[in-house]
Amino acid sequence: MTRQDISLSVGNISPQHIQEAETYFEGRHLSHIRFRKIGLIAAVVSCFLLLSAFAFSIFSTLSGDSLVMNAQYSGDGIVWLEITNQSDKELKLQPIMKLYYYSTQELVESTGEEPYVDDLSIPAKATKKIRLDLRRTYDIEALENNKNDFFYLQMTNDGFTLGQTWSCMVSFVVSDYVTPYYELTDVKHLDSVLPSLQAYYHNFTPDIFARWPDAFSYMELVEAELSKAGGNIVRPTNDYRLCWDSYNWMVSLFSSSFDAYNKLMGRDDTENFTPISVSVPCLSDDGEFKGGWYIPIFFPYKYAVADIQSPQDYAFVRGNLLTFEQMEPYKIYEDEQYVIYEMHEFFYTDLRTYVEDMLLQRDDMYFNDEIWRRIENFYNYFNGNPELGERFQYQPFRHDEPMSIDTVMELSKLGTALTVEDLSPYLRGHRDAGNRYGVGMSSTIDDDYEFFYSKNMDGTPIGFFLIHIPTGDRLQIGIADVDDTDVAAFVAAHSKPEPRCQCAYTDGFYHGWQLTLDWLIENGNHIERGDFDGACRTEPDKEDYYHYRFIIDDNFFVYHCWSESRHEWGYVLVHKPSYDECWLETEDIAAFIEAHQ
Amino acid sequence: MDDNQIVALFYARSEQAIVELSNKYGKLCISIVHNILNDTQDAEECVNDAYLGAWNSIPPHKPNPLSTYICRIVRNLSIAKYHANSAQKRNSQYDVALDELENCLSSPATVESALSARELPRLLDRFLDSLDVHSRVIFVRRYWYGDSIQDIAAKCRLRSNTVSVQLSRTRDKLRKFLSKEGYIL
Repeated sequence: MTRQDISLSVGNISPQHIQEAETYFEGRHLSHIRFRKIGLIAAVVSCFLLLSAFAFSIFSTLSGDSLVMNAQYSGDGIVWLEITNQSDKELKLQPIMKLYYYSTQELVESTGEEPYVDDLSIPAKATKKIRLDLRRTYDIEALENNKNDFFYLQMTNDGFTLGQTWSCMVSFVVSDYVTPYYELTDVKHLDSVLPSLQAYYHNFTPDIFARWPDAFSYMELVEAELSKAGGNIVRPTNDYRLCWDSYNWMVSLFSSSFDAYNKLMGRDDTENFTPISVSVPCLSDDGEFKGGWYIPIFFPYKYAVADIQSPQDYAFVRGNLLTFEQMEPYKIYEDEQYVIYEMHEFFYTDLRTYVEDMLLQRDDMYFNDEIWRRIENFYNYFNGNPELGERFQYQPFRHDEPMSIDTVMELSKLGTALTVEDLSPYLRGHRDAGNRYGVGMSSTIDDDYEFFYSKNMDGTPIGFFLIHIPTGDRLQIGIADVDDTDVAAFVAAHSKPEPRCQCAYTDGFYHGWQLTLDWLIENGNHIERGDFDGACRTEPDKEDYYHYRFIIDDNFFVYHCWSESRHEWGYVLVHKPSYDECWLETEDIAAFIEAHQ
Repeated sequence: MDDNQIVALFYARSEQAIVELSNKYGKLCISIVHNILNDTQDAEECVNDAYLGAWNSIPPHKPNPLSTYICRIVRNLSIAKYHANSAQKRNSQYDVALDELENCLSSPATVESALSARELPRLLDRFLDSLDVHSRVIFVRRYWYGDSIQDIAAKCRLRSNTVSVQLSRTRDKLRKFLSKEGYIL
């Protein structure tokens, strides 16, 4: 092994080890300095030593990453600090602060008075909101009028000289935001809603924070109506294992208590539903596609068979109290465990009017005839079609169950599933550690730094690939098999010259077109990782390849995306399904817009 | 400024991002490059290239932690430079550290050696996981950051000799570990 191999190998150790070695001495260094300073003072005033030593024991020595601080100005000189103490010790901030201009980093002139502040103790592993009253400390009017600059404020746990400090940005511009409300145009379907509940549905707001006051009043009214009705009112189930298989990248499944009007779908916010929605593109201020939004089209209500004792039992569906006998025409799925009803008639009467109401809420939503046709095609294809119910399938695992590579393969929805034997050459580096849950690969991986830093390059793995993404504790995975024949056919179909440039990793080395790509699966204490061969391609080539791999079939659009014509996929290809919790997201959703217009 | 704010500046394409990155991690980056290359001019070049790498890669990436991200870019650029300058006289801390590891990691030259090289980072991770945190940090500071024995000793408040002995024991453990895994005979 050469010296270059050795330095490369050492260079590729886990980022966690590198981070640990960087921060390990911080606390020790701090305590060392304090010890010396306190010792010096002790020669003069011994009682101060005792006080300081005691202070050191009670003030937490946190690393910078152990605390997250955000500030929001609410007007009248009041700043709300939201502080998350991620350490194992209680954090005690002091009631002193510094405020700097962001642009010049100069200290803002103060009156010398300290701010009024609540209790500044934050328990270990807790988040606390603290009110900071700056009225006697700063010229509030001057701060509010300084609209061209940000500020950052600093807090400390032990004085700004000896203690640790934390900063966060704050703006003193007072928002003139007024919650928007819109009158519902499509109201015919509301005729069947219980009279006392109808007002709730007649207007709506896109503001997800403003929906709560309305929802709380509504829940009280609902409970009054339900207790008046008596009988067995069956709650819907929340078992995500029985999940609609979208099997395409233009449909979104999001679980929520609220519908797209921000209105409760059930009797309260504990009842969740997963509408089947069509994704549509959105535009940023500069006219670029920035992702997608969704328009719920079908509304499955799922119940446990065991909970329904009689056809005269009730279901509560968006303001309507219906017996299960009345629900019968809406049934789309039934097995020994669950029964599902599709209830979109209780959400809208006319599809076009409904969609236009949606457009009112989002002025960033991109809408044209092509998108409208896709929504309409989707509705027409599934409305009354038994396939809508047939697509409900039991998913093979839950998030709290151990996941193995077998399970991952079972989860494959985007291509032919690989077998464990297929993968066995790649299964290396098993170990028991960690507490995260995810799958990642090359340029899309978030927690490993083996991605490519050139904006125009990416790696296309040969063998198989995993698309995205470990984020939080959710599994998000798409997987498809790709073999040499696939790649060769792609190259031939597009007349791509074989490797025409080199890839650059973040390691600063320039590599040839043949790459080794890492994969990683973590679930609780179980980690599997390994690597596989890949080929380096330019970004346009990669996009072409994805199109080729997944959209080569002429029927794909008609059958899976309900579009009448073929258009290029969006500028960015991101697919984030969660078969664990039954939701799916695709962005950017620009596929049905003429490419590069 | 915290890391999230610096990353936000990168996302806003504000050149202030580089300034803030440099303010916060510049000294750390310089020390890593200097340990490896022992050349002030090269160090500045590498650090500037690393900032450019960060500028080009954020967005789309959101590194967390930012320090490890930038350190890794800096180190790898330095190593690339180091090997490009391999004809030069060996004179850096990193040469000495590499000599120490070379004795420990040399594997038989076989057709599997390329595979072994690919496998080694995984094995190193597993080995580091098996160490106590103090030994692990000293190992990483020495062979990843390229710190001198004296620097590590000062940081740990130990005598240099103690650090040397500890590193020697860790390398012995590594040799045994790799032998057990079939990596070296």
